[in-house]
Formats: sequence, C-alpha cells, structure tokens
Amino acid sequence: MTDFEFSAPWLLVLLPLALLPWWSRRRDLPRHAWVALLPKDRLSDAIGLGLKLLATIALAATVIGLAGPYRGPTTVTRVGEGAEIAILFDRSRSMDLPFTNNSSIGNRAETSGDSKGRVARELLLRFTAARPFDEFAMFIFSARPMRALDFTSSPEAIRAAITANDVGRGLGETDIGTALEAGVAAFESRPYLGARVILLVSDGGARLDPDVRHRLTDGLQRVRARVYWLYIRSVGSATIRDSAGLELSEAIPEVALHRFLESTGVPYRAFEAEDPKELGRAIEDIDRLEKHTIVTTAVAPRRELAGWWFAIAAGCVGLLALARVRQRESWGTA
Amino acid sequence: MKTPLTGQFTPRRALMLATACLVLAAWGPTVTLPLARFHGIIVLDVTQSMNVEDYSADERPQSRLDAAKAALHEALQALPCGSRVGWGVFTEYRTLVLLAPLETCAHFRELGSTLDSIDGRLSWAGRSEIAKGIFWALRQADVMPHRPSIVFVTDGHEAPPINPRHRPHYDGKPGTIAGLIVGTGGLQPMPIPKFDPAGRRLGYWRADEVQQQDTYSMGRATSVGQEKLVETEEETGTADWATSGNEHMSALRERYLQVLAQELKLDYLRLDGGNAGARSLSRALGRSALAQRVPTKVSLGGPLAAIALALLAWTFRPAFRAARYRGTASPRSPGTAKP
Repeated sequence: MTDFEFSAPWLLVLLPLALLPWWSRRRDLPRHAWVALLPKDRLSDAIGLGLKLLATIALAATVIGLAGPYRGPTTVTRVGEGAEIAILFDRSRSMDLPFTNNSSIGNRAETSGDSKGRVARELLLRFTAARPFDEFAMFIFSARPMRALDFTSSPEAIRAAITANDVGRGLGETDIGTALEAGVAAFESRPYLGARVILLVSDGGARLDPDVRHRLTDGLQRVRARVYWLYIRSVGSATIRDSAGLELSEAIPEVALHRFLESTGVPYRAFEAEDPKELGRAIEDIDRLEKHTIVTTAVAPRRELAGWWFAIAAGCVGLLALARVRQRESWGTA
Repeated sequence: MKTPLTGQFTPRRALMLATACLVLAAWGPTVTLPLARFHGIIVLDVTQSMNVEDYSADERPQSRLDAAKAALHEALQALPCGSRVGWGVFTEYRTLVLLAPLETCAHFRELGSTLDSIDGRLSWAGRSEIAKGIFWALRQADVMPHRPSIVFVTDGHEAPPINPRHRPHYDGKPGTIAGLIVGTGGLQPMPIPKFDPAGRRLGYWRADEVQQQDTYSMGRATSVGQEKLVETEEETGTADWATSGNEHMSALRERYLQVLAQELKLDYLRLDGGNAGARSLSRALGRSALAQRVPTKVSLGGPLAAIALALLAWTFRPAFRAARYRGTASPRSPGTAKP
C-alpha cells in the first residue's frame, strides 16, 4: 500500500463511532434480578468480547469505506511498438486554404472544399488513433509555438488537442524555427524512453538564422530525435523533391528548410503532399517507419477500495446478526 | 417494515438490514443520472497587462496571470468528475482554442500541464482588444460541438484604448452561449512590466511608449490641429474606459467588464487573491448556467453504506438511561478514591 488515500478524508472524524459497542448495553437480553447472581462464564465473556470486537470492526470498516479509500493513480509500465511523437502543427492562415491541384489553377470552382488544415487534422486523428503505444505532444505554432498538450497516450486528450484547431481562422505569421526549438525542448526534460520523433506539419518552409540553425542542430542531436516534415504543398509553392529535376535553390524557403534539416545529422525525412491522398500515404509511411520498441509508463486510473471495506463490514455485521438470531430471547422459551 | 419509533424495529432487524445494505454497497451498484456539470472553454488573457503584479502569494508579488492560473488549478481539482474543461488564450483581437473540452478527472494531468504552459510568451501580437476577443470566443463556442460555455479571464485593459461611442459590435445573439467574465487585477493602477521575446524582464512600459488615445480620437495623419476622426463628447464616469494619459498603467477595468457582461448576458466575477478567490471561482464554475447535463455515473455504494452506518450506530447507541441510573447508585465525587 504505497499511496493509499481518501477522497473524503474528513469523514474519518466518524471513526470514534466504532467505540459505541463498548459503551452501549444490550437492551434485548433476558432480564435478571441481579447480574452478580449469574455464574461467571468465561466462554460467554469471550463471546461477548468477540461480538463487541466484530461490531467495532464493522463500524470502523464502514466509516473507512465511506471516506472513499483509493490507491493510485499508479503508473504501469507498458512495452509496445511506438514512439514519442511531438507534433508541430502549423496554424498559419494559409493552412485554412483548400488543397488545389495543378490543373485547377485559375479555376476556383474546382478547388476541393476541405482546407489543408482540416485534411491534415483528420489524417492526424487517424494516425494517432491507430498508434496506442505512442506518446503524443501537440504544439501549434504561428508567430510563437504554443503547447496544447504535453506527452500523453490518452486518446481523448490527443483528439481534443487536434480538434481544437477546427475552430477559428489561422494566425498571421509563421516561425518554424521557434516551433522546432519548442519540439526539441519538449524532449529535453524527459528520460529517454525510446524512439523520439518531431513531426512537423506545415505548408511552408523558412530560412532560419544561423543562430537558430546552430541551436537546433545541437538540440536535435542532444535529444536524439528523428524529424519528419509533412510538407503540405500548395499551388505555386516550390517542390522539395529532388526527382523533379529542377534546380533547387536555397533562396526558396521550403528548400532551405529541407536542406537544413538534412544537414542536422539526425534521421530526417520529408514527405511532400499535394493532395489528401498523398498526405494519407505520407502518414502511412511514418506509421510504418516508427515501429520501435518503446517502454512507456501509462497512468492507471486510481482504484477505488471502498468495496473491500464494505465487504469486511458486511461480513462482520452478518455474523452479528446471526449471533442475535441464535441468542435466547428470554429464559422462558428455549 | 416498522420504523424504530414504533418499537418493533429490533436491533436484530437493524443488523440484518445493515448487512443487506453493506453487501449491496460492496458490490458497487451505480446509476446513471443526467447531472449538471461544467462544460466550457476557459480563455486566459495573455496580453502584457496580465503581467502586472497586483496579487500576492506567499507574501511575494504575483502577476494577474499567475494568480488566475493558481485559482484555475484549484478549480480544476474542485470540479466534480464529469466536468469538461478546455483551454484557450487571448491576445490581439482573437481567441485561440488550445485544447477542446476534456473530462477533468480522467485528464487532470493533461489539463494541468497545458494550463502550466500558458504564459505571456504565447502572446503572438501586442494588441489587446478584449471586447473582440470575447466576441470571438463566443462565436467559436457557437460552432463547436455541444456549444461549450466560455469563461474569459481578463483585466479589461484594452490596448489600444477604445472609444466608448465607437465600440466593437457583437453580431451574434447575446445569451445563446453562457459565459462568465473573470476580472483579474487590483483597482489601483500599476505599472506594466515589459519583457523581451525570451521572457527576460526589461523594466516597465513608459507613458510615451504606449498608445494613450483611442484611434477615433487621434485623427488621421492629415488632420489639422485637434481635429478628430469623429466627433465625440468627453464621456465621464459612466464606465472606466480609457484613462487618457495613463494607459501605461493598468488596473482592473471592472465597470467596463461589467458593461460587457451585461450586454452579452454573461456573468461577472472578480477574482480575489489567495484561497478565497480560488474558492469563489470554483463555486462560480460550478453554477448551473455554465453547466450541461451529462449522463454521469453515480455510485450508490456511499448512500447504502451511510444507511448501514446509521443502522449500526442506532443498534449500538449508548444506554444513556442506564448510565444515569448507575450515576445515582454510586455517586462519584472528586476525591473519592476508587478501589
């Protein structure tokens, strides 16, 4: 019993009630003219004492049960396939725009209704729901990173953090540098449990200051995090795919970010998605890549122990009731 | 069954009934009742005036934001299971929801750690248009599932100052979203601390560093002399709007917040410091206006065990009469030596 606590400890003030049996006198016993006339009977004395003890235990157990004893919440160690994933979610206004494919440039009517942000959120919901052993943290960022959720494996909490972004327009500016730094900082104070992943979900890149680049390179190596960049590409934005055969210029922010992340020395992959399908495939890829053994501690909900105490009390009171059934009502009848 | 008053309720029957109650209690039956539980998003103003230290904790100055967070931590603990709390932050002119409402007992740790990470550094812009922020929050609540209520924690310090005659207009219907405005801060104007983006302190804002007048009264760049953009008479005393020339100082603009609350059909509560403030905030959050009826599992174990306890106490009640009788038979007086 390491952490045995009460939800209503003040009810324990009723504990002195347990002494009542030693105070009270039986009213339903056969009457005698003078008790001293009765022969001394050790067995009777012992039984009387035992019954009083039973009553005391029953009262005490009932009071303790009423005070709501519980154990925990305890932490249980789980071993599974998963990772610690810090999601950095772009909350800039451009994420509110719908996906557009190349053929629909200039043809607004053809753009699909769902915004990039909404599609990304839905896929993230599916991704997180399918990975019960992951610990997720959620940061949303625009000009500043904001921690919406610290690492947790609670599916409801993760869903609440993702769906919170369903309402309201995006914010104006984007600072990917501070967002990545926040992702690094999220791991900094944690013990190393297993695979660490920073999952950047954004529709744009950034050229980072040499200062920031230096700090990030250091930080990423220190916390040993892998980086995945889910680049949601909009129409007219640059591609970061080398296979495109185009000259990738570092003057393009997306290419600059891609090159920088490649240079950090930690495992890194970029997924470029132009439409919901590609985004879905990228998420499946990450799901496949992140199958490492992870030892996580989950918080087991607290265990209510009142039932056991009531059971003890029930046993005692049952015996007392039985004793009274067996007892002589008077000297007249047997 | 006979009641104890008729005398037919024997200790034996009481014990048998108590046994039955306790067996049931041990088994742990529950009923699901539609109980009113808080369901809302608590929005914290993270603008710079919230850094004013006019609260105190452990005899040290405490900022408005820290005081509000401490009180909210308490409230989080005090809310009964089944309550659902979400977090949001306000700066500029809008509210951003960080975490959608979550059940408090199962997610106490998650809710607490997100609350911990809310600080002034989240502020993404310098402006603080509170009325618009509240409108924004109400509109967002209106489109969210289950329409959560809104709790808006702020000091009412609009920056830039607003003109009482040209205030932002709420286009929704007041009263569709229930809410509570929690006013933080003291009534004495205090200097506003200044921080750099990394959170280092840079002294206080000075009078010439902040916009002292509302935009309407300032006129355009091309205005001549004292010409204003709109004609307004000086409003005096009706509410604590701008304090011309004193906008670098900040106090709780309570009357302004009350006006807003009244117009939007929200409740208003001033956050007092320390435990008393935390308690009244918890009570205000528990009020039914902010709550929604949610099917909540209620354990019958407690009530059953309480009945059993009452029966046991009755069965083993002290025999007062007998004690009195004994008392007269062998009087005990001070000085009487007992064998």
